[in-house]
Amino acid sequence: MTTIYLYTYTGDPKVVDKSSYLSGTPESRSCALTQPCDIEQPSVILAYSAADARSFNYAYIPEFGRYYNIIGRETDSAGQLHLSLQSDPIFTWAADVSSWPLMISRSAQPPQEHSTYTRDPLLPLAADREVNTYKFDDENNPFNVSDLAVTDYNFVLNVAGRESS
Amino acid sequence: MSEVNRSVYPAGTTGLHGLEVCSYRLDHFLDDEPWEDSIAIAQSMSERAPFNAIDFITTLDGGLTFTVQESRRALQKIALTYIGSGTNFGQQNQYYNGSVSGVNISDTGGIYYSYATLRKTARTAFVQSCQNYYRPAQYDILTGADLQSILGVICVGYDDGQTMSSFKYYLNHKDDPNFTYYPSSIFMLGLYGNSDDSNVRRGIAPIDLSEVTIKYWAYSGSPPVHNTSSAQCYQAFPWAVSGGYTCLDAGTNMLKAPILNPALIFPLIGSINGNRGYLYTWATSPAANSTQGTVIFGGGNGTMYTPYKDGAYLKIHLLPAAFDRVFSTAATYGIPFTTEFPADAHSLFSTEGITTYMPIANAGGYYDGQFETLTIDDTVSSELSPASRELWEGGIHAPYNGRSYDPTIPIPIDQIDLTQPSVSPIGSFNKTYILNKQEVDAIQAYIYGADDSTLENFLKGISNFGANPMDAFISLHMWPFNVREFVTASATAQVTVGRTPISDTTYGDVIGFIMPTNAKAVVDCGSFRIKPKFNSFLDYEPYTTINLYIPFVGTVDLAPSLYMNKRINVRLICDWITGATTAVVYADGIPLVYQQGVGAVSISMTGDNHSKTAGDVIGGVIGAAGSAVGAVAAAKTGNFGTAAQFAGKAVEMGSQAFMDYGKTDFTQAGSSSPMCSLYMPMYCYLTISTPKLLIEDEALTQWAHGVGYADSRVSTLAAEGSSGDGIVIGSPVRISFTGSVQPTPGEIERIIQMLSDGVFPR
Repeated sequence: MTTIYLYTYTGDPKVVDKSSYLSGTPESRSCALTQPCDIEQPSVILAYSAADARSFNYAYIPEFGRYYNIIGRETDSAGQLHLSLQSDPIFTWAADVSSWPLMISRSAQPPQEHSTYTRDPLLPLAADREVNTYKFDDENNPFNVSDLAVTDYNFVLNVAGRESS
Repeated sequence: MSEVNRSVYPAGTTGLHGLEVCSYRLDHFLDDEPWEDSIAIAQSMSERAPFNAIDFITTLDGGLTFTVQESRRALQKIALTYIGSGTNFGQQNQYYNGSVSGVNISDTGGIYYSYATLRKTARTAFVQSCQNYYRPAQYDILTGADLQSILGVICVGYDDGQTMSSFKYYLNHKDDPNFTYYPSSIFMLGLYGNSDDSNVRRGIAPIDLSEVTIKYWAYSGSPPVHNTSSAQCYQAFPWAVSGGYTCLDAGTNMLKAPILNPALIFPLIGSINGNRGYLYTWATSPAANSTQGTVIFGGGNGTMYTPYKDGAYLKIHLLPAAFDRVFSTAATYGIPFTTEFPADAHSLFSTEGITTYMPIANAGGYYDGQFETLTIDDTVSSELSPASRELWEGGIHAPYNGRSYDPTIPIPIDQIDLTQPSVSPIGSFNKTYILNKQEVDAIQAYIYGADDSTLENFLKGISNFGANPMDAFISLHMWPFNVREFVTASATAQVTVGRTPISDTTYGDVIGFIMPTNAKAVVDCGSFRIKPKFNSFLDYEPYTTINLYIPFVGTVDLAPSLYMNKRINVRLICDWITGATTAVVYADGIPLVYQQGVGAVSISMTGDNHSKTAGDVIGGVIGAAGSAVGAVAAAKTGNFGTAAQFAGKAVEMGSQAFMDYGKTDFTQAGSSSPMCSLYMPMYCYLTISTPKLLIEDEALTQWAHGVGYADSRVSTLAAEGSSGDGIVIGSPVRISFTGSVQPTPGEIERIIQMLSDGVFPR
C-alpha cells in the first residue's frame, strides 16, 4: 500500500507556490497503485468515502515526491474510489523554478526605466485620441500682417538699374 | 499675483541651492505663464551656455547634469559671476558689489576668447572688451541694458540671504529708465557658506518677492550638527545621495560623505568652507580627518569624486600630484578655479597675487580641459595664450597626436548653424528697396496716374531696358513680417527705376530703405519644447504623432522619436527677390527638416486686372489705402490711358504668382498660395495627438495583474513574487533541478509551457 495525502486546493491553477491555497492539514490515506503505474499520471484506488470524493482535488504522494492535480474521480460497486492524477511539476519544483532566470516578456509589476519603452500591443487604448495644439512662443513670432503698422516695412521692390552713385 | 514656491529649506542650513529667477517683462509677468515654460526657457538658455545642459527637469526630480564640453560647443555667452556680499550690496541693496569673473565665448570672427577679470580695477576694461566683441557678459552693477543681451547668469557666490534678494532688487527695479528689457530667464546657482555665519542661517528667508516668480530647490538640509539621521539626510538630499549615510556638513565638518547618486553629475571642483561662497581646492595634501580638498558632493577626508569622461567618476585624492588632473577636469566644464586661500573671503578673483585658472575654449569652441593660469595682473582678455595654444596644439596634455581627443572616435555635433553666404544676388544687376505700405501706394499712384510728361520722362529713364517699360519692374513682394527687422537696412534712397527717380505729385519723393547686398535672410519663427506625456513607449510612433504648422509653408509631420524632449525651432530662409522660402525645423540646434514654400505675396504691377488685384492685396488685405483704391477706381472709369500704354506690350511681371492665386502650391505640405496663406494662422503651432488609455489607475492595475505589462528583462519568479502576486510571463534562460526528485522530460515541458502561458508567483 502507498500513502497519499489529499488536499483541497482553492487557488488559481496558474499559481506557482500553491501552499497558501491548500487546505491546512492533508488527509492521509492508504491507496493501491494501478499497475503499471505512470508516476506522471498515476491512478490510485482507495476506500470510498463520499467526503473524499467530494472535497479533494489535490494530492501528494511521498513515494513519488510529486504533487498532483486530481483530474478524475470514479467509484465502483466494490466501494472503492479511483482517482486519476496528473503531476503538478511547477509546484513540485517551485523552489527551483522560482530561482530560474527568466526572460520576462510580461509582468504585472509596473515597468521601470527602459522597460517602459517596450511596446505593449495589449495595452488597452481607446479608439479616440487626445489631440492638443500648442502655439509657439509669441515673443519671437515675426508675423505681423494681422496688425500692420505704417512703420512696418513688409514690401520688397526689385527694379532694374543700379544706384547712380 | 506672485508665486513663491519653496522646497523644504529649513532655517539655519548650509549647502548649495539653485535659484531660478524667472524674470518678467514690463507689463507681463511670468506668473501668468506655465512653470514648465519657464523651465524650458531656462533649459534652453543653459543648453547654450558654457555650462551646458543644466537640466532643470531632472534637477527638480533629483539630478543636476552638466555636460562635458568636449561634445558640446559653447556658442552663447553667459557669465559666471561671483556674487559678493559686500557691505554696499548686502546692506544697502544698492550695488552689486561682487567681483566678476566672466567666461564669454563666441565664434564671431572665428576667434575664441576666455575672459577673466580679476579685480575691480580691471572690470571696466573687461566690460569694455566684452562689449566690443560680444555685448556685455556681466557687470558689477546690473542694469536693464546689461541684461538685455545676456542669456543668463550663473552665480557662484556667497549668499547671505540678502544677496539673492538684492539681485531681485534689480529685477524689480522697474523705475530704472534703463531697465526696459529683461532676459527671459536667469539661472542662479548659489553656494553659501556654513552655519557659523549668522547671515547664512537666515538662508533665503529674507526674500520676499512680490513681483517675481521664484522657484528654487535646496541642496541643503544638512543641519549644522553632525548627527543628522540617515533618514533626514536622504530626505534632504534625495537626488544627491543614494542611501542613508550621514550627511555632509558643507563647512568644516565633513566627517562622512554621502554615497553619490550614480545619476548625479555635478562638476563642482573644490570646496566651500567657512563663509566663503566660492569653490577652491587646497594646495597641500589634506590632513587626516580634515575637510580640506573635499568637494561638496561626494568625497570626504581627502578624496573627491568628480565626473570624468565616459560617464565615469574620477575619484581623486587631492594630493598635489593630482592637481593637474583635477584642474583639467574642472576646466573641461568651463569652471574657473583657484587653489589659493585668499584672506578676503569675498575677493577671490580680485585679490592681488591670487592665481586663478581659467578654462580655455579650443578652436572648435569646446572646453576640453585646457586652462590657463592668470594672475591679477593679467587682467582682462586673453585670447588663447601662446602657452595655452601650445598645449592645445600638441603639448603634454594632447595625447592624441596633437589633439586632446581620440580622432578615431567621431564626435557628434550638436549645433548646425545657418551661415550667411559670402555671395548675394542682391544688388548685382538691379536695385532692391524695402518699402512700407505708403510707399507702395505712392509708386502705384505714380505709375497709374502719370501724365504724358511724366510718362515720357519715365520712358527715357528706362530706355536701356528694352521696348517694354514694365521690364524695369522686376518684382514686388509683400512679406508677412517687417523685413527691415531682419536685414537691418539703414541706408535710404529715393526709389529709382532705371534712371528715373519716382516722385508722385501727391506723395512726393518715394524713399525706401536699400536692401543691403549682405542682407540676412533668416527669420526665426520661435520655438517650442516637446515633452513626453507618458514617459513610455506611448510617447513615440506610432502612438503619438506630431504635426507642425508653419505659416506659408504648411504642415509637416515630425517624428516623435526625433523631436521628443527637444526644443523645436523654426527658421525661414527667405529669398527676398523671388519670395521663395525654405522652412528649416530644428531639434535642439540640429536642422532635421527642410520644407519649401513661398513666404511672400507677389504683387503684379501691370495691366488692369493685375493692378486691381494689387490694389486688393494692398488695400484689402492689409488695410485700404486711399490712393490705391483711387487708382483702381481710375482704372475702372477708363482714366487709365498711360497705364494702358505701359501695359500695351505688357510682360506680366509676377503673372505666375497671380496664377497661383487660389490654387494649391504645396501639395506635399498642404498649404496653398501665399495669398491664401495670409488668411491662415500667422504663427507656428504644433498639433500633438496622443493615445488615450481605456482604463487607468486602479482598473489599470487590475488589468495588469492578469495581463501584465510588456517588458523585456531578466528576472526571477522569486523577485517578481516579492513585489506582488500578479502574472508573470516569460521563458527560462537556464533551468536546473536541485533535489533528489527529478522531473520527467514531459514535466519539464509542462513547466516551460506554463511559464510561457503565464503564472502567478504566489
